[in-house]
Amino acid sequence: MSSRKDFFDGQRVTEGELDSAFDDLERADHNVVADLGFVGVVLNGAVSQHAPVPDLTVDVSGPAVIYDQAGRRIFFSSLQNANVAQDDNGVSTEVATTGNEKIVSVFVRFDRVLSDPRIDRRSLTVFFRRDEGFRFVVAQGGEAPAGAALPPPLRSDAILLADVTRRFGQARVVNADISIARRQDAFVVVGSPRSLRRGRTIEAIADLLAFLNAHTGGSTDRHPAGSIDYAGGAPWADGTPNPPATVEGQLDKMIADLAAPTGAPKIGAAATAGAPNALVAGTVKSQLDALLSFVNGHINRVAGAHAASAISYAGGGAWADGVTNPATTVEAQLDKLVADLAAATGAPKIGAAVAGGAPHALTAGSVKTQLDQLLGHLNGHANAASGAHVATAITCAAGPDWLGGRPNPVVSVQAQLDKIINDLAAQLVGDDGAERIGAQAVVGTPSSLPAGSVRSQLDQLLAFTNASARTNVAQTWTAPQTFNGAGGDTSPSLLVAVDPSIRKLVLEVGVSLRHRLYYTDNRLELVVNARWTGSMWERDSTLAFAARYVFERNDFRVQHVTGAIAQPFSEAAWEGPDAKAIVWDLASGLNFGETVRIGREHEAPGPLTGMSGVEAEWSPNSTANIGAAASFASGRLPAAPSSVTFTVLAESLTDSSPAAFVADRTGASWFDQTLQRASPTTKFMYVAFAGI
Amino acid sequence: MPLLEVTIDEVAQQCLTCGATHRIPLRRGYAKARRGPYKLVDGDTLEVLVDAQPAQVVTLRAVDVAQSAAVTAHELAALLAAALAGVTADVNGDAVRLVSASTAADVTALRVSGGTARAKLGFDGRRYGARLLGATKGERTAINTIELPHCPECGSKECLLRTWDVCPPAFAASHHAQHRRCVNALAQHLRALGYSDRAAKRWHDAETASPPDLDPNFPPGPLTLAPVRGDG
Repeated sequence: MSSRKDFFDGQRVTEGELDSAFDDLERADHNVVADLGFVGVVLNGAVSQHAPVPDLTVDVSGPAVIYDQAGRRIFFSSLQNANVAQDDNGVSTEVATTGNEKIVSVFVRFDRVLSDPRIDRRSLTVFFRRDEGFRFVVAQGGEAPAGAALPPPLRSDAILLADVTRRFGQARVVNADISIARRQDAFVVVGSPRSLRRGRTIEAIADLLAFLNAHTGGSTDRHPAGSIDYAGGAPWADGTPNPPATVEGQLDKMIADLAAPTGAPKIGAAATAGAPNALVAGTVKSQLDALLSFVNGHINRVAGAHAASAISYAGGGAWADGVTNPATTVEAQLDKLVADLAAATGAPKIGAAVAGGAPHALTAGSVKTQLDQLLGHLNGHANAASGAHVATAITCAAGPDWLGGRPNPVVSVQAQLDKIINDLAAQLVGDDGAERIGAQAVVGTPSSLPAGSVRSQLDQLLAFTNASARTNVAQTWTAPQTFNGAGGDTSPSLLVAVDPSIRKLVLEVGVSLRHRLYYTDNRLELVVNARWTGSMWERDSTLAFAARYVFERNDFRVQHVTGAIAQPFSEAAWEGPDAKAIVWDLASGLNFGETVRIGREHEAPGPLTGMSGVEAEWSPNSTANIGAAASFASGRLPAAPSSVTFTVLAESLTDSSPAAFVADRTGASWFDQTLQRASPTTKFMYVAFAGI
Repeated sequence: MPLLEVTIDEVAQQCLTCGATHRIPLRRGYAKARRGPYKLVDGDTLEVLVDAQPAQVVTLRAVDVAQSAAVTAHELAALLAAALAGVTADVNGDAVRLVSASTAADVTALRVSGGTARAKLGFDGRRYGARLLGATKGERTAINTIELPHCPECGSKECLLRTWDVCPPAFAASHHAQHRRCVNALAQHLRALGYSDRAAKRWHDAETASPPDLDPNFPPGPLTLAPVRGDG
């Protein structure tokens, strides 16, 4: 409530009186606010970077409600913008030195907005309306190195909304530059573990209620046990007291009491019935002592503690041979063990691990398998035809000296064998292995070898060899040579290596007109007076012709090349214009199963050809036959032909159908009818024939 | 013209001169044309004497063939088979072959005696009877000769000859020896069947021996021989 003015009827009210009435009301409002302690930001007024593009101003949210220290209400409904580039005195807030900064504070303060000017009686202008208003006050602190700048002090006539940190070269203020640590909200209560910063009463109360509920519910802000009192309680069973303490202290004491060697007497234990033993009431300590006595007494019994049949055997793994050991009593299992192992099948039941050794080892298995392996090794050793022992383990008695006198003393077999090899492998002059080996006399022709050593006979053989043929040295044999000369030997007496595609001279005989045997392209050539140079033929004597006899698979050829042919001459020249040749053509000249024999006449299986003819004058009206005979032109058949084919070459007044009359191996005869003519007539027929 | 095959019904022969092959019936009259196709004209005729029967004349019509200027042997054989009595007509080596239905040794015969188509078809106009052992010309008879028809392709004529000498053993495997044995077997077969030349028959009947080189596998055969005109 405010103080009142009671204006009365007929009163002439002065300006001061009217103003004082408003002042009373306004003061009453301010007092109410001040009495309630509402100073600071109640709603909004949050400071943030300017949107949408930050610059050196900040945005202040609305609608905002703020009460200043005098209880005056500051209100603005919409978003406001405050320039922090310069302070309230128009001084720039820019930081002058790199690395420095300064704090610029944004305050809001109550203000009056004057309007509706009027002229009073003294001709003075009076603003009739004086509405509540506000304005932002920007103050800056001193520039200092980063982190050391102090903010401007709080003001008694304005409310701080935020502090803004300005840095060297800064062109815009962002949210990270804005601090509300000193912001003057209506409710700012600093405490621990909780603080409170709110504008409205309901918000502050809600926060406090949330803190309380969280504490009560135990989700946060729980009390430490040390902050809770323990009022003290009954003593332990052994009389140890439990005096008042904190919950923390009592819990620690209980653990210490029970964990100590004297813990068990502190815990009571009721009596427990049982037979043959029972436990009387006491403490855990007394009952543990009793139980220990029972157990030790049982364990210390030297006999009869239990019947084996009263002890269970849970069953176990199978024997090595797979025989099982199922669950039973200890008595039965002991009996089974004896029975299993005493049987003939006992050994396979007992496992045996790998046993290393050399030369033999035993593989993992059973006693049976390893016994078998041992027996096998023993028998193998006894029966070994070789490798029974290393030679170094066997002594070799002294033996006779080598031929030449080198001794063979007592050593091991290994050493003696090594010595034999070394003795025989020796290559020293006058002391080599060959001289230690005896050699019998060998009788031969023309040379023999007397008895001696390998050395002495090698020396003699070398002497023979140096006087005999060697494969890489030209030899001149002065006596006839025999190559693999055993009669009936199917191996070749002489082998000549050839490349079928390259003509090779195999044999050369003669002096002036040399005879040469060549092999080339699967044929033999016997050449007289010509030599193959590798690409051409060249006669030995230019005064004589050259001859060649060619033996090949398909034919046999005799060829002569004239003595006038130029040197050298080509392969083709053997059957060219300067050559003559006879060719026995087996490939195309005869069929298989045919043989041509050449004696006084050729004898060939045919077909052989011939020609026959006759021409004469027939008497008038004569139909006398016409006929003739002829020999085959090229030889004779082996026997009389069984077929004669006639081809009439020319005829006159005949039936033109000759028939064979008689034939033998040398030729055939034919005959045919003639046609009648009234006058004397010349008739003729000429035929070619072929017989087979 | 050596033999290629001998059966109890016919022989296959290859002309030694031109290489043409012919299948010739043993006991029937026979005539063979040259290899087709044949160039004929509508209305061409063919006169055929079969056995001792009167001549049969066949008129060849263009409507009966696909192309009268190139009548195939099969077309002609079909026409002749349908038109001629006592004759079978078939094709051998692309040539028409006419064979008498008769096997009477002295009767069976075939002669294409005339007509405008005779020369066009290559029939030689000769009368060919059955294959007979023996050949008579005028008053002379060759008792060992078997005449075969002239080759319609080249005109050559083969005579088979029964032989009485012995081929040397060194040539026993040769074609020469095999052919001799084959021909002798054929000749003896014809003789046994009575297919002897009329004049030669009295000599054949008087024979008491057989040729020494004789193939024992005929009859019945067949006997086959490699071609002489072969691989060389």
